[in-house]
Amino acid sequence: MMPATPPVKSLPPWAVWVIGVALLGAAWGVVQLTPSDDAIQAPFVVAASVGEKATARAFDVTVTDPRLGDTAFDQKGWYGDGTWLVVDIEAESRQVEQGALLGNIVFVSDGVTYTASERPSSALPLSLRTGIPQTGSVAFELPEGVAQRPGVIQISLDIETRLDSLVEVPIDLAELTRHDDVEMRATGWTP
Amino acid sequence: MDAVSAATWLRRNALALSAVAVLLPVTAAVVVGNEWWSANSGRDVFPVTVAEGESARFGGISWGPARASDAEPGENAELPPRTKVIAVDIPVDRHGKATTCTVTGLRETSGAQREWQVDTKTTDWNYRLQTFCKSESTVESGQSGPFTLSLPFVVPDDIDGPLAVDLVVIDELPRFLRVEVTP
Repeated sequence: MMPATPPVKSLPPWAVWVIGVALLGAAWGVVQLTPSDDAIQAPFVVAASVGEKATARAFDVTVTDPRLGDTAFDQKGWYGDGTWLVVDIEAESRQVEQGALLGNIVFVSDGVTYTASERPSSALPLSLRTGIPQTGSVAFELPEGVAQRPGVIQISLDIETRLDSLVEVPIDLAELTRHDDVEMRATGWTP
Repeated sequence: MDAVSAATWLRRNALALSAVAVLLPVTAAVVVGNEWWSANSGRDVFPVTVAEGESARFGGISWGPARASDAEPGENAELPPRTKVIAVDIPVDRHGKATTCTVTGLRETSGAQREWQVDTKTTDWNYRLQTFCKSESTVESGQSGPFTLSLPFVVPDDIDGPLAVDLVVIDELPRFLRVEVTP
């Protein structure tokens, strides 16, 4: 003969409602906490200010001396008229030289991305050396209106930044003095 | 289900349960191992280390004994500030074959394990010195026989202590040769 089953105690109706609402609230919370599809593949942002060394996964980089001008010129006789933002960068790889090609430097303002110009002779792309810093300039040719706005310089090895380090250096162009000519330095070993 | 019937069920299904216990981990290991192999079999993963001052045979080639020293760059060299040139000489004998080899780089064997590639340009290195194992066509034109790899590396001048040169012989991957040297 089967043993007698203990009597089943049921919860009071109000408790059922409280638990139900609590579970709904918890489910809403989990949905809020879940990263979006983009966030799962987002780059790891390394924030730095002008003049501060940023340490990314594979390289160190320092952005210095941002300057605005109507004409940019390099050390090989090239010059171009327009609205130019020129910055100096100093960079080295942290561990390996193989594959350490610094190839993506852009300026982002109001969600619009401006790639560094390929017209002048610049530090882009820069083949990084382990523990041996190199210095050079990059130039961004911008629409006139952007010269009054804040923006961010983004630096990474590759255009493909997903799940890799992305250095971000904010620059407010409105705070920069506008020059007639801005000079780009030759790319070479950091003295 | 009470304790007696649970024990009965376990006994009746013992064979199937032990098969699952074996097959599940084996399946997982085979799948993971297969993926790992297809991703890494063409890469330099397992070092075959040659201790300092010793010789070894690897990939049908006799290597060593290797020697590292601080070296003078060529006369047109423009070395970066605060750097020096380390030259690593590795005697190589391919025993009449023309097995090619490539140099991955010079690396620290401890600490940050930083790595530098061969740099003949910055060092203005003597172009007559061999910096890689030349291919078959060159050997056939009369350059067979033992020779010495003479590899220049530009490194920060605070580098000392044990280093190693990594060399790859394609047919031996994922094994590769790590020759230890101290400048």
